Amino acid sequence: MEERGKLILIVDDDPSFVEATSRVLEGCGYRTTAALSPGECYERLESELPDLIILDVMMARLNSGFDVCRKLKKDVKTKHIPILMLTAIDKTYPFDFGSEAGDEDWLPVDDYVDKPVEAPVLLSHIQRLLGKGPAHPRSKTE
Amino acid sequence: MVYLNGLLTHFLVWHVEGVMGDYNEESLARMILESMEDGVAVLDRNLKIVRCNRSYLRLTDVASEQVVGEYCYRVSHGTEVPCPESTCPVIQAFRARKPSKVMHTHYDTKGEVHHMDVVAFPIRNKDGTVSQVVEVVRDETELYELNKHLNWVVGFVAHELKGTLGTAVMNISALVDERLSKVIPEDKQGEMLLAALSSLKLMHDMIRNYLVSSKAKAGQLQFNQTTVNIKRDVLEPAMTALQPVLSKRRMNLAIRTSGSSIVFCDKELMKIVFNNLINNGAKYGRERTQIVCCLKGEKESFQFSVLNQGIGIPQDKLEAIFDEFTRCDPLGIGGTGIGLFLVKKIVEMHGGSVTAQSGYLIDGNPVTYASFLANRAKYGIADGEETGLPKFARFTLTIPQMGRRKQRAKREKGEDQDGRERKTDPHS
Repeated sequence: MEERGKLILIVDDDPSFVEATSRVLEGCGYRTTAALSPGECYERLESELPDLIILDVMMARLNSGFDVCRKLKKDVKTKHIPILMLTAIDKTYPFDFGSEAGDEDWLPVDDYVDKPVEAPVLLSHIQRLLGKGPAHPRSKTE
Repeated sequence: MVYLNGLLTHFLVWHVEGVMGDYNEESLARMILESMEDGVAVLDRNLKIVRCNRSYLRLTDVASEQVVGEYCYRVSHGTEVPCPESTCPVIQAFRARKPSKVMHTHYDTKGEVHHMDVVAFPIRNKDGTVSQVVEVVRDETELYELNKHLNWVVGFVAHELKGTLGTAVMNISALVDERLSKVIPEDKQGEMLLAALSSLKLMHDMIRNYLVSSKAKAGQLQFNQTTVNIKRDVLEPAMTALQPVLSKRRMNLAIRTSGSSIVFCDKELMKIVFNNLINNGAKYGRERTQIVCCLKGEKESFQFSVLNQGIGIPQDKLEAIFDEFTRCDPLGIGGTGIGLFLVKKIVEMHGGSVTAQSGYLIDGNPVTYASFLANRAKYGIADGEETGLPKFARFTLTIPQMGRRKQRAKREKGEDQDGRERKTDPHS
C-alpha cells in the first residue's frame, strides 16, 4: 500500500479506543500518534505534522471536535491535512462541508464516519483520503 | 388550563351549595386568586392590565401602581411595542377566541433568566365577542433547568457508553476481518481480545455506576458489609483494569501499605470507589508520572489515599468537586462528573468521610496551597514563581472499623455497620 509509513494523528478522549485504533492502523503499516484532548492535539501538531487526522466530534465539551477542525482548517500550516471525523452526526442535518464557508454550520472535515466504527470500514475511509484527497465534500443544498 | 378551570368549578360548587357564608362572590373570587401561586392578570383588547393578583406582581417584579392600567408588554418585557403574535398567547387568545399557551423567557431586575409558562383564556361576552383575556403565568424555571439537566445527562451517558462500545467494536471487527487478521501480529491479537473484553466490562461498570448513582440519590442503595481483603480483592483488580491507560500514558502506580488490609465493608461498592479514584488519578495525572496509593489499616479505622501529579484542583473547588456532575476540567479531559459524587455517597454509607487536597509538589513532597501560602518564605519561592511548580491532587477516604466481635454480632442480628437491617446484595 502506498500509504504505508504515513503518520496518522488520532484525537479522541477515550484512551482505550485510541489504543485499539492505533493497534489496527500500525498493523496495517501506518505510524500513529495520539491526543486525548484538543490541547494535546495542538501540542502534537507543533512537533510533527501528520498525513491524516482522525478526530472525535465530542470530547469533553459537546461538539468540541468541530472547534478543533475549524481551527485547523483556518491555519495555513494544517489546512491541507485531511480530517476524518468520528461522529454521531445525523446525516440529514445540513452541515456545510465547503472549504470556505466559515459560518456556524461550517464543518470543514474531509470525510466522516459513525461511531462505533468497524476496523475495515475505518481503513477504507483512511485509504480513500490518503489516496485521492477529500472523499465526499457536502454542500448545504444536498 | 386544568388548574384554573378546576378552581373556577370549585368556586361555582361553593356558590350553588351556599357554602359561601360571610363571603360575597367578588370577595370569595378575590380570596381564591390572591392565594394562588400562579400570577393571574386580566387584560383588555389594548393589552392593558385591568387587574391582577399579588403573585403576578411578584413574578413581574413590579409595584402594583406600575402594573394596573399599564401595557402588559411594558410590564413583562420592558418593551414599548407588543410581542409578535407568534410568541404572545394573549394576542392569540383574542384572535382565535380560544385558550393559548406559550413558554416565555423573562429577565428579572437582577438580569436572572426565568422560564415562564404563560396561558391566556378568553373571557367571552354574551354575544360571543372577547373583550378581555385572563393571563395565567407560572414560573417553570426549576422544571426547565431539571429537563435541561436531564437531557444533558442522557446525552453524556450515551456518549460515554458509545465510546466504550467503540473500543470493543474496533478490536473485534479487526480480528474477524480476513485481511486484517493476517497483518496484525499474533501477540497483538491476544491483547486485542483482552482489550475488547476489558472495554465491555468497563461498559458494565459504567452502567452500574449510573444505576448506583440513581439508587443512591433515591435512598434505595442497599448495603452488604463483609470482611474483605481490600488490597487483593479491590485495589489490585482496579490496577489491572487500568494497566492499558497507564502504559499508554507511561505512568506507573505505586502501592504503599501499612497495617492490615482486612476491612469490614461492602466489597462491590468499594470497587466503585477505588476504580473511580484510581481512574481519576490516571486521567488527570501528567504523562510519565507516578500515582501513589496508600493503604493504612488500623484497629479503629481504615484509610486509603490516591495522589497524582497533574493539573491539581483549584482551592475553591475542593469541596464542590464531590457534587454530582461537577468537574474540575480546565484541559477538557472529560468525564461524567458522577464518579466523585458516588465515592462520597458510598464512603458516607460506611460511616466514613472523603476529602480532597491539592497544592504543589516541592522537592517531591506534597504541600497544600494553604500551607504554601503560609510558609512561602520557608520554600524560597518568589511571588508568582509557583506557577512553574508541579501540582498534586490527593483524595483520602477514612472508614471507621469496628472490632470483630461487634462485626459478628451485627451480622448475626442482620444489621449493617450503622445498625440498619442488612439487605441482600443487589449488585447483579
